[in-house]
Amino acid sequence: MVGRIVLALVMVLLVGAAQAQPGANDGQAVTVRAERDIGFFAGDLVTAEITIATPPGASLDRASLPVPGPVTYWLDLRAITVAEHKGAVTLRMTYQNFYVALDARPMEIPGFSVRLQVGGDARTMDVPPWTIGVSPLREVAPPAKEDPKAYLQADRPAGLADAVRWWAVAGGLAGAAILALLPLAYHHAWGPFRRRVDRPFAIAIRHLRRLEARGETEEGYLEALLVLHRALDRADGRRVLADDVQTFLDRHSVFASLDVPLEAFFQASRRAFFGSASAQARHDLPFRDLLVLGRALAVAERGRT
Amino acid sequence: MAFTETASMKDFTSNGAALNDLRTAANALETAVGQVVVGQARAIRLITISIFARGHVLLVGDVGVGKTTLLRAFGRALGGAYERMEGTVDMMPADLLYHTFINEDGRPRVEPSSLLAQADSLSIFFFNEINRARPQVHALLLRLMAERSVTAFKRTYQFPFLQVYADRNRVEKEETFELPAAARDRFFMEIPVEAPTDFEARRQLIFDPRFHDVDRLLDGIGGPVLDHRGLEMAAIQVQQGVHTSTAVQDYVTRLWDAIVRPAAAGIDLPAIDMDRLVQGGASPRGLAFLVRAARVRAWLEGRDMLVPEDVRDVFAETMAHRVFLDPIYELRRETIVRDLCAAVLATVPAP
Repeated sequence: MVGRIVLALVMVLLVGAAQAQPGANDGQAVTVRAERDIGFFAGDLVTAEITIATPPGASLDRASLPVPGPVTYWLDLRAITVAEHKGAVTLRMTYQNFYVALDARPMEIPGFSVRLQVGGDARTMDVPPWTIGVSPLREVAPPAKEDPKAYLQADRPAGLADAVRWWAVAGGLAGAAILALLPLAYHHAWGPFRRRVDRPFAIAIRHLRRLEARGETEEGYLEALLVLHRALDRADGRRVLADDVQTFLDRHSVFASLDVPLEAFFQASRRAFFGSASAQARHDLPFRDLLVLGRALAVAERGRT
Repeated sequence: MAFTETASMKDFTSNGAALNDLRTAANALETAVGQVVVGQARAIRLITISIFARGHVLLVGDVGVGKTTLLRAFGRALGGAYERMEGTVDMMPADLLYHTFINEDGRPRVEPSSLLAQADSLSIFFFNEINRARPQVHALLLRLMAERSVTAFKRTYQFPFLQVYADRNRVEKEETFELPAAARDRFFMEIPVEAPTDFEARRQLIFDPRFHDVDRLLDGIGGPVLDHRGLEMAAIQVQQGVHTSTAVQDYVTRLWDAIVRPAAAGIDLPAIDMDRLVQGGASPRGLAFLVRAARVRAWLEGRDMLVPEDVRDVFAETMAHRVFLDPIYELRRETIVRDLCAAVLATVPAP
């Protein structure tokens, strides 16, 4: 035991000497400052701050720094950070000790060299090795058990989260998603937003009934002709003239059976509007026949898709 | 109003017989020309309309589709003289009027050109490739068209029966002088003459030797089927004999509004700024020509009243060349104006 204390003291002195010792690099100093020198167990991190005084205009060649990884069989370099100041470079080294010591003993962390660029020249600076004291772990002596699994404790039961709040959130989001479907359905004309097939003759027949209620006059008759003209135009998406009846019927086969009354309608309209003979037209195709034609067209258009 | 209507109805009855005879003659004219020119029924109908409306015609079409044959056939069926002249870049107005040569004594001589020499009987004057000729020549031609007279040798030559047909080369742009807007507006119609689309007609045109010799082909028309000297009177009778109701007058006026201000009429053509498309044109003269042509069409169809179908049938041919477009659309003129005319007819309600 006394021997170990003496050894530790010697080690402290040695490390102190290493710290105090200036680097033999043209009078430039390399200083190693360790967090502590002793009391490292297996797995402990060993940190050290190495300050390298640099001449004016010198810069550190970072390619010359040690690469994180295994350094010796018992020591890994975990990380290295560099801070450059005016006149000095500070390297923060983090090693990890894997030496499983059976007794307290000094272990030497190897030194390394770094290069400085001064003007066009390269200058090598040596970081000296230093020593740390490693110590054994104390014994762990649980009561002996036959099954090794018995050393493991049972899992802690998982805590119960409060689901009510999350159900509320999920419900709210589902509601928002359904609401977002509404403009989409409108845009695509789905479901309730589906456009009904345009029924110009259904609208026309309502107009004709209003005209009928007003009593038969010449103006009313001409208006009725116009109402049917506009409905035909709307059904075809273009202006339908007397000469177009056949092509209109070819395009809209649902009205095919109405070819004769449609021809009569166009002839009467032609006479009324362009022959300036509305009395003759009213005689040839009276208002009630217009109503009959309008109704027939309105019935036929229900078959349009 | 009632009085005027009755009066015009009386006119119809008195004119009716004459108009029926005239229609028979017009149908005979169409049939005669149709026998030698196949697959051009539409052009024949439009030229017949322009003959009975006494309007000058601009022909457009590819080369070799039979424009000359068509006009020579009409010339033969109408009687009267037929004259053809080729527009060239170095042609001057004097070339139309004077024939200059060195006579047998070696002295220079100036005599009336064949155009002037036939002034009294000329019924069809075909000016080929009008846009090859210079604007000076256009100016003379326009005067000839407008006044049916020219001044030469210190006197005025009258052309009482003249109808001018001008052909526009639409392929080449070099060394051509495009007809200015005002000049185009003077033409009654622009009639497209395209190669026939009917398969049988095309086959016939290629293989039937009858169509290879134009002179012999035209001999198929024995002689005049009507008197070209009576056309002026016939045109007046036709124009008087066809009734135009208020409804059709309103329709034509609405068509005019729509073609001049298509955006306001709710017409929209894809990829075209409708506010700037139409820069001008569609003159009152043009609309008067439209109605004139439509009346002749109504009469040819055997009607004594003008209906929107008549207006629609001649709308593109009488209006398209009078509409002046924004320069950026001018290069695609043919398709744009065709679509515009179709859109106007599809938009404006009738009656």
